[in-house]
Formats: sequence, C-alpha cells, structure tokens
Amino acid sequence: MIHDFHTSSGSAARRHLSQTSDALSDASRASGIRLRARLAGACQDACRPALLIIGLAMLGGCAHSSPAPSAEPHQAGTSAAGSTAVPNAHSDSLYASLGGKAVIDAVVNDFLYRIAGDERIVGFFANTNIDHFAEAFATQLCDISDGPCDYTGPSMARAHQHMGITDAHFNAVVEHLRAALIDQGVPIGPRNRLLGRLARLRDAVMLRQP
Amino acid sequence: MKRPGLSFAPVMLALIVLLSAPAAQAGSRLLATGGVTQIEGAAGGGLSPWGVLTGTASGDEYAATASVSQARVDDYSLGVIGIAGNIQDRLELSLARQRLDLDTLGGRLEQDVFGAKLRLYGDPLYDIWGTWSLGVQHKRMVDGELAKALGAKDTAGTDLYLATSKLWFAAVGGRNLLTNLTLRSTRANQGGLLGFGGDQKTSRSLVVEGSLGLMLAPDWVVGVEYRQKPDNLGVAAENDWRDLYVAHFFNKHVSLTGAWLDLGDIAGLADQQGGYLSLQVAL
Repeated sequence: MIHDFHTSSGSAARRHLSQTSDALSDASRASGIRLRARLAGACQDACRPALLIIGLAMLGGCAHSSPAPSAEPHQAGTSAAGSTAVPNAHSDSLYASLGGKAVIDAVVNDFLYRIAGDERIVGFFANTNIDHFAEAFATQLCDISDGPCDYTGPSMARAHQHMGITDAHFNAVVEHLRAALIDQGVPIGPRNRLLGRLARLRDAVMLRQP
Repeated sequence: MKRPGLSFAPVMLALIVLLSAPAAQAGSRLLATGGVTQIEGAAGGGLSPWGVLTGTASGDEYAATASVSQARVDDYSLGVIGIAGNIQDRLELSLARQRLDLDTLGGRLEQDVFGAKLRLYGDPLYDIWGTWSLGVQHKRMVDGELAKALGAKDTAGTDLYLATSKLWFAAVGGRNLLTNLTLRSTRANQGGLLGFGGDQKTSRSLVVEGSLGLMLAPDWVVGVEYRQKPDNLGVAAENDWRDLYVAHFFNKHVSLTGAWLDLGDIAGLADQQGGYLSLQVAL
C-alpha cells in the first residue's frame, strides 16, 4: 500500500518534472531533459563509469547511475497497515515537519533545476540518470529525517570518491539545497534541523577527494 | 585613507551595483559565514574578532572586504575604516584606521591596526569543534601624547588572540545559533587608543571575549557581545565592553550592522553608551 503510494506519487513527480521542464526553457532553469542533455555533453570520456553518479556534493543523495540495487525509492520501513495513504512517520518526526514526501519531492526537483543551471556543478552529473538520482536523493532525505524510508545506496564517501569535489562545489550545492527548501516553503525550524543532519555527512563526502 | 569629504555619488553607485550583483560573483561559503568587520578590522562581530575569516571565500577562492563604521557614545565618537583580504579561507590580512574624537574633552586620537588571522582548523558549520583561528593585531598610535600623559607606557603594541566559532543548527526556536569565544593577550588601554600598559599594570593581560548570534533568517543575525578588557591606567579606569547588535546581509556583497554599545568609563568620563553602525562591502 505504502509502496504503491510512493511509486505512483514518484511517477507523478517525474511527470511534473517533465512538464515543468518544458515550460521552463530559459537558460537559468534548464529542464530535466536539458539537464540530461547537458550532463551527457559535459562528460566525454573523462568520466569514469563509476562516477556516473551523481553526485553532488553534499548533502546527500547520491546514487550510482548504474541500475545497482542502490536505492529503492521510498521503501516503506514500517508497517502502517492502515488504509490511508499517509506514511507511518511519527507525526512529530522531522519528516512530517518537512511536509512529508510531497514536499521532499518538490525540494528535490527544485534543487535539480538549480543544479542544472549552475555550470560549476552540472558537470558532475554527466551520465547521471536524473530520475534515478532524484529518487535516491529523496529517499535519503526521507531516511535522514526519520521518515518511512531506508536509504540503501552507497555511502557518501563511496558515492563521491575521486570526483574532484572542492569546498566551492560542496558549498554551492548546500546553497542550492537551502534555497530549494526555502522556496518550497519548508519552515525555518525543520529546514535547519535537516541541514544540520546533512552537515554531518560533509566529512564523508569530502573524504576521498583528490 | 578616505575622509568624509569624499563624494557620495560614486559610493552610492558602487553600492547599488553590489546590491544587485549576482551571488555567483562572490565566494562560495554561505551567506553571513564571514561575519562582519569588528572595530579593529578583523572578521567578527562589532567588538570582538571571530574564528571565521572575512568574506565568503572557500578553500580555492579569494575575497576582499572594505568597511566603514561609526560609533557614537555620550562623550566620544569613533570612526573606523578597514580593508581586509581572505586568501583561500586560510589567511586573513587586514588594515584598519581608527579615529576617536573626544567630543567633550576636545581633541582626536588615531591608531592604525595591522591584522592577520590564520585559520588553524575546521569549519563553523561542518566540524563538531567549529573553526579555530589564531590572530595578531599590531597597533600603532598616530600621536601618543595624550596616552602618555594618562600614564601609558607605550604607543604601540601587539595583541595575540585565539578565536573559535561554531554554528549550532536549529538551536533556538529552530534558528541557527553562532557562538564565538576569543582569548586575547593584550596590553592595550581602551583597545590601544589610550596606549599600551600603564602605571597600574605594564604587562600583558589575558582577556576573554564572547558573542552569540542568532540567525533569525539566513540574512538576519541578532546577538550580544562581551569583551573583557585590562585596566592598566590609574587615572583612567576602564570597563569591559558589551553590545547588542543586529546585522542584515543584503547579499554576499553588502551587509549593514547596527548595535547598542555600553563601553563603560572611558578616560575619566563615566558610563559611555550609544549607537554603532557599520557597512561592509565584499568582493
């Protein structure tokens, strides 16, 4: 039940991304399609397959572009045998405070638009399967905010290893995520709590940079 | 150093340009993480240097900041003009000219402060222990006659300090809280404007400075500061300084800070309180 909910909602988000993308054709807000195109163009043979990823730097959600068993989108971690579509996160959890799946998906989409428009960062997404990344990132945000998800993708150190991420890249990504949280209406308390949890991942992300 | 006589038109024009400049032209560290400019020219609050370095430059970037500050308390006015550079978020170099007008007593005292701050470790956001920096401020009075007359031993001196800053996420009402602690070794009287060392004590004192900054929003900070001071001059007892401040970061290029100051006794005149305004621009 829950899984169905997440899946269908995820598809809606993907469709939404597509539709929104088409509507947003200006350079600063590249569409998901353009994002993919730009990513593909930005990375020629220089990109090692393992890096396909994703990446971004920080905070979070990074997944291999290979169809590895890395991230099962929004796996239901707990039961909720209930019949409503509301995931069984505690109502006082950070996940609930953030606004649950709908808001997290919106934040991830918003975030990706920002990444697509930032030439400092966009190259890291060359060859990235954006849909896959979006789901993995959303799952990680859900997991880290005590939501009903279990992020099973690679560790942050492994997901970002040898990508050449600098402090400037890392900071830029943090800034984009914070801006996305603000623009999607996440209140300041939950926003800062989430950023605080993600901030702890920074050392792992930067652990294996050249 | 520029003087109030300069035309405001180019200054205003530059401000307008900076207020509308894209943030991508600035360093990559998050807004406000370089603090503002304290009265001796270092990145900090108003009164105390912080552990962070000026501007928003990160590990492979550079930043430059300039600031104009004015404090007006009951019997004195202090004007400060400062410039500072940030080299790859590792080393901060700063220069400040302080001008203290003795509005009641008559006269003017000036000093130059040459500062350097080396970031030893860490980041205020991402490290459990925050960031730690070691700083030096070499101060030279322009004319030390009054200081000498009050009993100061020297008209130049060097402060050394260790400062640490840490941001606590969602610490108060969901807002992020910035905490700063600074340990300073100094012989300065009233920060050096009344010379260094005195008849009561000629040697260095170890003093503590602390500040809190609550980030009401990413671009608004309110807080308090406290700066302990030596008390070296018999005829001009001095007190610790404190303030309440609010800073607004228009973007990564322009910030404006206002404060309410309580500076205690200064050169024989008691209970000096008043306001403070500081504008910083960053590239």
